[in-house]
Amino acid sequence: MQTAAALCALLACAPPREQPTVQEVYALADVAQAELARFDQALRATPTALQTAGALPAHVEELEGLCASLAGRDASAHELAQADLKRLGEGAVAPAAYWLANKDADPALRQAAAQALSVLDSPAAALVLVTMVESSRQEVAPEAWLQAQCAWRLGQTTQDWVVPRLILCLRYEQDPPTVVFLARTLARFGNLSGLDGLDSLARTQRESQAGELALQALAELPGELGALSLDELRTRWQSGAQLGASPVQELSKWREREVWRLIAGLSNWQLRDVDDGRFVLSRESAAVAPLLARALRDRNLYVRVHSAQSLERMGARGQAAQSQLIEALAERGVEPYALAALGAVAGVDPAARARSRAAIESRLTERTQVEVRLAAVRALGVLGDAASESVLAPMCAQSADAELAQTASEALLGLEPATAAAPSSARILALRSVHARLTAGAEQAIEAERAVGNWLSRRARARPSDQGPSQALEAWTMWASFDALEPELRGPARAAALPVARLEPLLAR
Amino acid sequence: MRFLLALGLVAVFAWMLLGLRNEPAAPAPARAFTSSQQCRECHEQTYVEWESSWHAMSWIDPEVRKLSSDFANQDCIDCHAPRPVLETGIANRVLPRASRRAEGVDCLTCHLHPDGSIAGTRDVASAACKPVATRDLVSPQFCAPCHDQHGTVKQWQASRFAVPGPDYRSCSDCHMPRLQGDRRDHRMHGGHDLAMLQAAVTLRATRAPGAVPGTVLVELENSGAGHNFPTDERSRAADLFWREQGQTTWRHLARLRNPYRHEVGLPNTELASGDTLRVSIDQAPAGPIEVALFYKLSPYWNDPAAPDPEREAVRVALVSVAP
Repeated sequence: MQTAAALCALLACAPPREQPTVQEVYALADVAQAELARFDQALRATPTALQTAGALPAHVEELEGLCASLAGRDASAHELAQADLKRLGEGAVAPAAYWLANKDADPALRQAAAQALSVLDSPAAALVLVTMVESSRQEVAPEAWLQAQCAWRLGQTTQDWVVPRLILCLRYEQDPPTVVFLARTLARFGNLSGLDGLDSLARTQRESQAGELALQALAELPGELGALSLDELRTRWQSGAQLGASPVQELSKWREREVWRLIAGLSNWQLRDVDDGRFVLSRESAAVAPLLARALRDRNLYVRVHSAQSLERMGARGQAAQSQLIEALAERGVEPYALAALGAVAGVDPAARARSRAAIESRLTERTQVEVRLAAVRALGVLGDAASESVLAPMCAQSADAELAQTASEALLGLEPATAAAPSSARILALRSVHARLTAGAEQAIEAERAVGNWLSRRARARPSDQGPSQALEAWTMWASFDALEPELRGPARAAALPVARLEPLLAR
Repeated sequence: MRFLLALGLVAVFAWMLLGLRNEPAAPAPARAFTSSQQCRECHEQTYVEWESSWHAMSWIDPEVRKLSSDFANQDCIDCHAPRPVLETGIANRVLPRASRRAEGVDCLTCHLHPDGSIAGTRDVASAACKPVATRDLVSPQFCAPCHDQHGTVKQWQASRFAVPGPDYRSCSDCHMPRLQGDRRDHRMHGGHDLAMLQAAVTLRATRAPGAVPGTVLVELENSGAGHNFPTDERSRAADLFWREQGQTTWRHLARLRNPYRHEVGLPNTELASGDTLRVSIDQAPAGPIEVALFYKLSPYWNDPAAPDPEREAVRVALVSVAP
């Protein structure tokens, strides 16, 4: 007995063991590079850049004839040409690419070459088309009409691996009709990241051909994708629900490889590449979320962090990664980014929201770093769950850290209204606090402006029949033009246009 | 009694063994540093310098707010409110932070070690923050995480200023020169500073004998910058203009700028360190003319057809050419 007691005492006296390393609590591996290598191995027949200069490829004349048939009006000739193209198979890709790129050829022939490539419907043929769309970023760009044509023809193939590359094209494309056809092709593959571009064109270029095309696309897409309205379509896309009539619902191996290529590229030193990667991944469909979830265990810190950021920017489409994001909270370097993502991915599913809220609130202890607590508070604001008021309200009032108190006020404003008929005093105080920062035009006004803007947008969406929120939002967005006013003056101007007395009634349910 | 003594000895021995298994503990920081405001308590002068610098403005500068749509473009946050450089590692890319973003590129961005200790140029155990000598603090690689994103450090590596010898100048030698008492200037002058701009380039314009009558040869030499002129930010531009003496309207001659990604087809016309741009004014009037170099912080003119550099840019150099 005495010995046992002595041993206990001995153990109690022992110095504390080292803290477990990240690897011990959170196993990491070469996820992205290994997946990329695996797919590269499996899909060895990767088409590489096609040679369009130098010696003429075989079958050039035969392709010219087939393209002429495709361009003609004879339906039976079309069928024969398509059959011949399929007979030629991959052998037809190089001559079709030749005619497509030949600036001296008849435009109708070049257009038919694009059609021929879509009929071939192979990775190599799609590569020619997508390269043509991407080449608007080169110094010697192809004709805009040809780009638009190639973007459209890609939508007639089953080559879904072009989706990430077409999303990136959206980022840089300057030709409005090409933007419309990019959006339509992406939609055909179940990706609606082109909707914003269509909205913008329909709004700003109503009188132009591109504006008309955009309006037409916006009118037709809901029916094509099995939705009753554009709003329904948008909601389903943002929530990660499958788009009914979309012919491609799962990622092909080719597309999965493209996605892993992007994820592996998040480790690049050059931010320009990383920005492009985050842009594409965050606009990808919900099917990409499980891949990003796996990347949260990658050995490379940048891959882990930027995967979490991509999930955050995906919003509810990233919900499949929720469990892995919760696990990632164990790693200090990724924790703030995983928290931000947890706030964004929960969507409207009550169970998912409860899981996210519990995980986020668990990080709000006095022991966690301010950096982490701030990320957690912001995440609660994004999540918007009314139940978080009990956590946020004391922070607004009592926190010794001014930034934490301000952020808590902003987050409180972001919560959905509580069930009570009248807003709580905490919410009223939070609104006044945020409004005061707007009025002062202080350094923190950037966050305060964003908080009020998001809050008004949410209220206007939640109460579309009520004129109060929508009129307030209109008054708010009137000041959004950066050309109209210096940003440091905009906050006070908005605060003057929308005094607290006008905003407070909007807090009510 | 003997048993208890033996047990005690075993206990001490075991405690020592367990203790030896651990790495020696790093010296604990004097206190937790969470904000640049804490640095002000002892480093008032340096803090005031930093406060007036563009590093301190990186989050709140109106131009940045406009260009980033108030950071709705989240990609800008990485470098405009970064986590400490030493946390991700020298020459590695920085990551965005969630706290104190209004402080921009602050004291902790450069001086905070991952273990919470403070990086300095030398060890000072008696100081409140107990700085630990960190030689790389003044190395060009320290600036690379943000400033080499557009190639500035690589440009320096290719310049004569990177060659060990009398011409050698690191980033900090020019942008953080030593002040009295061996302290470095934390105002970090750059493209916003006229004296720095003027020290970077030399402008010459002549009517060379034997040249085609009416032709004025203009030369702009990047004589003093250890990187391209202009460099880093794609919003920066330098423009050469000329006019007849006595006239108010400037006529555009050449532009030096690295375009944005979406400006397809525009070449990068930045002037590399040591290089000279030569352009000519054809059919120049016989009377006296003036040639000037202007520097712009934002790339576009209000009226591209009739730019007004005197209002929209800073005049860096002016030379007169006699009849």
